Amino acid sequence: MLPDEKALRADVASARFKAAVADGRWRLLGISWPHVFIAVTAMDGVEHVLRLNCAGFPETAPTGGPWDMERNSILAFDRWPKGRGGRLSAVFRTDWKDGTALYLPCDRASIEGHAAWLTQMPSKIWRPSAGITHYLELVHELLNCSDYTPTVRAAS
Amino acid sequence: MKSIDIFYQREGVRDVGHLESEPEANLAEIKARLIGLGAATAETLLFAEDNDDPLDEAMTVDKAAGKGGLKLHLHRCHRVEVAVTFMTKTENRSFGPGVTVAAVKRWATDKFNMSKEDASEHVLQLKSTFDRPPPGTHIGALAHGPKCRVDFDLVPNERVQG
Repeated sequence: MLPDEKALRADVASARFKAAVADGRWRLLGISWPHVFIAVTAMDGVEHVLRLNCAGFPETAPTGGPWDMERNSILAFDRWPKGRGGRLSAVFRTDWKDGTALYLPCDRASIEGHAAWLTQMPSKIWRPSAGITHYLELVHELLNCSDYTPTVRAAS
Repeated sequence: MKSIDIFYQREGVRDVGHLESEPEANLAEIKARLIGLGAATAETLLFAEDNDDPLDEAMTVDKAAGKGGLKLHLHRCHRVEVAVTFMTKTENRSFGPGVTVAAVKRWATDKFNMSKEDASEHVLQLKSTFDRPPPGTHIGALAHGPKCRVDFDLVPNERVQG
């Protein structure tokens, strides 16, 4: 096993990660290196699955976005978490990188070309010491903020 | 009987520790294990998450635990003095060290008469830093004894743009 996969597996086995699992904030669905699949719980109880590419972890930031586990593909854009034009909408952008990355400063693909973020949003920049929970904390906060629009489920 | 997960945070340390315990073990036994791990000393008090007062060490783990296990905080301070500044106004209160940043924020946004929507657009940031501790962080993890004090600014959680 390469060092980056070993480090990621240790991170998702850490007490910091497990404490959030015990709180129902997120849970690990699986690892298929270099990808990790994690379901993050929104304010309406809906779990939104992320596929994060963690190659080079933890020195290199992860990158990824919503994933459809059944189809094994990027989640159809009409099923992405939706906002009211605020902070969540600014991150879950279907017009960014073809849906392969969240528009977050801690995302490896999105930080490229955004040097200004280093000074504008230092708290959202990837920190290797904080690990995968840093990315997940930011996503969890967005899925539980006032901009999040609860998912409407069709009546069965 | 199934073991119970114990997650703990401690004085001045920004990480979470984990133990498993038999349900019938008492907290004095847990404290002894934590001392053995170097995570506590004889003067350390045990607090349940989001509670102001120390736990009775005669209590058993199953009585102290909630649905997701037991969330403990280990600290020498009985209380942590917290100051939150929003714009030019500062509010002060003391909390048990196991109180979470999320609970302090709820108290502060209420003090500053923020609507629920406005509150969700603000975060607590350690004064004179860009450090925004995650909401599950215990304030005791941010306070090194014997200082027993944490100072925050309540700041807008900026939208990602550019």
